[in-house]
Amino acid sequence: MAISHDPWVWAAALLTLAIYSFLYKDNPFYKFAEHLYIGVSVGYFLYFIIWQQIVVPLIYDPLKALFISPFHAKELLIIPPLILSIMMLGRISPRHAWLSRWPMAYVMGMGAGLAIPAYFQTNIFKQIEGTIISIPPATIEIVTTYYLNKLLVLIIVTCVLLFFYFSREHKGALGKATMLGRWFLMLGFGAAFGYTVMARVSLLIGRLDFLLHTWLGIH
Amino acid sequence: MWQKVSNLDRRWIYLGVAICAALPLILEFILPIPATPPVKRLFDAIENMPPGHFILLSMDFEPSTMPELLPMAYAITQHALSRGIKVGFMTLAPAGPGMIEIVLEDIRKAYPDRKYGEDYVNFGYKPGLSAVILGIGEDIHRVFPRDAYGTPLEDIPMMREIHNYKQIDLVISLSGAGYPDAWLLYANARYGQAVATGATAVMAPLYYAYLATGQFVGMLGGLKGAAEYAELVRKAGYMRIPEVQHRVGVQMSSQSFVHIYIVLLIIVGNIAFFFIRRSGGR
Repeated sequence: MAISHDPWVWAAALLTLAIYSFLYKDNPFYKFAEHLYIGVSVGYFLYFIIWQQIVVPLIYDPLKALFISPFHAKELLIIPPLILSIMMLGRISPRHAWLSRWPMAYVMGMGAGLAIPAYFQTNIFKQIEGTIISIPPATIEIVTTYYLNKLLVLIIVTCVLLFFYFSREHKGALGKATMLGRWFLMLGFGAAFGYTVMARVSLLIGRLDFLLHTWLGIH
Repeated sequence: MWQKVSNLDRRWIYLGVAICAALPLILEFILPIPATPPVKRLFDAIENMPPGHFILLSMDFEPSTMPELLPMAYAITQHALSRGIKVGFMTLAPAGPGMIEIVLEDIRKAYPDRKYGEDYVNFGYKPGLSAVILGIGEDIHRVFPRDAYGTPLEDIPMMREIHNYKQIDLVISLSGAGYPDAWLLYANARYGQAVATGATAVMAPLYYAYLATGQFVGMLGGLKGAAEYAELVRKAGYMRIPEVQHRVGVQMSSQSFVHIYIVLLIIVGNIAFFFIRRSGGR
């Protein structure tokens, strides 16, 4: 056992314990760690994202270059987005809020134009194709499993889609199919919940490993 | 008695979880970790790549998901560099640069024969998500004019021949949020770029659909995926930082213990519920 002598490891360990102390009950140590975390996050965001990644490289540097060589085409390109950015700030004042509609329209139009075809390609066409065709088997031994899997996928997708068909009462054959669809959905939710438990436990294990291994040096 | 079980103070349950998680970490034993097909597919994709090719490792995560995703980054980087494959590190997450530095610090020590700028490069962070991914499709030099340390990209030897997705053999997005979806939307659908993912366990179920259609080359799901990949890398003899593989293996044993404990709690909780209902209690 070799306890760490690194002050930063100690700081991280004590803050971890302060956060986990909430599991027992709310207390001042937890409140301190929580407020410190929020403060650090906001400070990091303001300096690293807003200042270092946006203001300096995207506004200050191009404007400086524009000032030095005003008629250079590359530098002139900064002007339209800069005007739109300033118009976006109109939202601060209710009187000038209408100004922000222009940049907002541009962002929405561009975003939709880029995302809609890609979204259809990724989530509709490829997924329908996958339901019908899927990846072919690599070896002849797994051909039977491949077709069984394909049949299963087709049945499950159809039953789940029928469950969301509300224009007819779920009775008779449709009722049976939708009942199956509900069971398949429950299975899906169960699997997703299992994965969520695994993710949360992983985070706890990561912290415990840090406390036991890195901080206390238990090997 | 069942009423007592039903009303058990939740702090006892937390204590049980802590003991189950801590025991394997203290005793340091590793249970077998067989590789599942999604992990094997990503391993094979890198294993079959000729030396000198280039993969882009987008470490799109922050400290909150570090326990699951950082071991993946270590394992993939060691696999690629050991095989002579060039690696470009980048991140779309604001706190991602710190994650890249943690990996690179150990990689520099473990791979003195691999040179920065010739075998691997760190592009750092760039805000803009879709604009960044689409921009790389045009020219990565325009998206990242300089690397994370301020060196112009044209002065970095390995970047002279890499300009867009045509020269990038595989993109791997390690993430606990929706970043892999964005890589699929803008790099795979638009440019036909091969994309793989390492996702947190919360996100993994969503990505099985993309895996089945081949839109994702492979997937590492949560700590389990990381442990499986690390084990494959160790077995293939590429592991130069064995401590990472050991820790992730021990953590998986811890995970198994906690899962058994939770399953037992669910069974006991349900039995208590049925007995209380039978006796007319609420």
